[in-house]
Amino acid sequence: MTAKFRGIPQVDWFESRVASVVMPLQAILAQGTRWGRAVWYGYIDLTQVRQENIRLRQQAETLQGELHRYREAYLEQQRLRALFGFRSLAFPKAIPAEVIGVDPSLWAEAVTINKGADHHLQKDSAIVTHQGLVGHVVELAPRYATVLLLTDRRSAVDALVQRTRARGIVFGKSQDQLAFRYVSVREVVEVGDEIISSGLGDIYPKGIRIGTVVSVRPQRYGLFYELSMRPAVEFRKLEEVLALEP
Amino acid sequence: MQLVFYFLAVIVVLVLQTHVVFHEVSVVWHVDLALLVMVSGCLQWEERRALVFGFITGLMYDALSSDVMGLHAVSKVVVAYTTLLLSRHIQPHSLVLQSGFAALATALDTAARLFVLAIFQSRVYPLSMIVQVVLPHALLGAVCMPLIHTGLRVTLQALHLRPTPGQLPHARTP
Repeated sequence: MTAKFRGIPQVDWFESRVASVVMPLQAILAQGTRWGRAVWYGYIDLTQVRQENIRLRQQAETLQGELHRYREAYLEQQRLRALFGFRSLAFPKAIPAEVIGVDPSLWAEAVTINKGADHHLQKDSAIVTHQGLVGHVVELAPRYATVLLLTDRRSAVDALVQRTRARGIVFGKSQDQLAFRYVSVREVVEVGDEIISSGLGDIYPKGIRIGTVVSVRPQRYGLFYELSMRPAVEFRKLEEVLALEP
Repeated sequence: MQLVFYFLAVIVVLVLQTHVVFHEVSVVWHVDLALLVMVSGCLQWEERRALVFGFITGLMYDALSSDVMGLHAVSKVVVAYTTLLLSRHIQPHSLVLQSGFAALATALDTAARLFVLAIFQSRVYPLSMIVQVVLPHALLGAVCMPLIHTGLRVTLQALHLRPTPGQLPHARTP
């Protein structure tokens, strides 16, 4: 103390010894503290980052959901625009309807729509979309109707080849397949020809697309072609339809 | 009360079966859940109750279907009666037997409907088409049946619905 007070720059033996013992420990402690602090703050930061990550992920999911909804609404609007554009051009009195259910029976190709007798639908009303012919109403209730699709085996539609006006009958074959039968081999039909409704039968209006010919094969000893068709309507993706007055 | 519960179960599975989603999937996956619920009920009831249950289940099915009215009612009654006949001679609590019942019921239901359609409507389906669908359906029915039967029994117990007088004695064991 006296030496210090007097300004003598000499390290005391005792202090140096104490310092030489304590300082390394202090250094270790300081190092440990820094390390501990680094770990602690790292953990805190990590926790915060993790929480922020979770929050951002939730936000991304929410935005993704919103985006999905907007995209769905956009697609619905596109479909409805096409459907209503078609309606205003071709069938101004057509009734728009939504598909709400399917037939539970095996091999039955039928759907239920949310419009019925209360909405002026009648039995045998033709059902169409902007893509083409869908089917006709077979069962009617006040607020819903059952529509037999063209692909059902019970379905038959008188039809024409659009290019050559050759006549035949389109039958359903189940599982999204159609057959065009009773077309005379004297007519000219080619793969890719469009088939339209002929208007006979008082159910379907004339000129609505039914499908496209995908294979042509004359019967071996017969009078008619064996024709397979791809439907114009994507029946598996049917959501909105138009019911026409019979 | 049990009968009411089973009718509610049939309504629920019919709503599921007629959901629009099923229009997008292959017919192979259209398992007849209503039939499985009906078989589950028929395994534990006496004759009249089981037949009435089968008939009304079929009528409800017909109401949602575009097929001729009564087609499913007939096929479901045939299945209910066959289930009753078979369940008299064997204990239906085994899971394997339940699966067997379901597979048989699925095949019989389809066969009965095809028979009625062929006789009364002259509608005949190609054999390959029938086999392609009936076999997977029977297998799926066999897989689903223990789940449905157990699920219904557990729900009944949870709801404290006691056996009714028309019930078979072997059904009283949980």
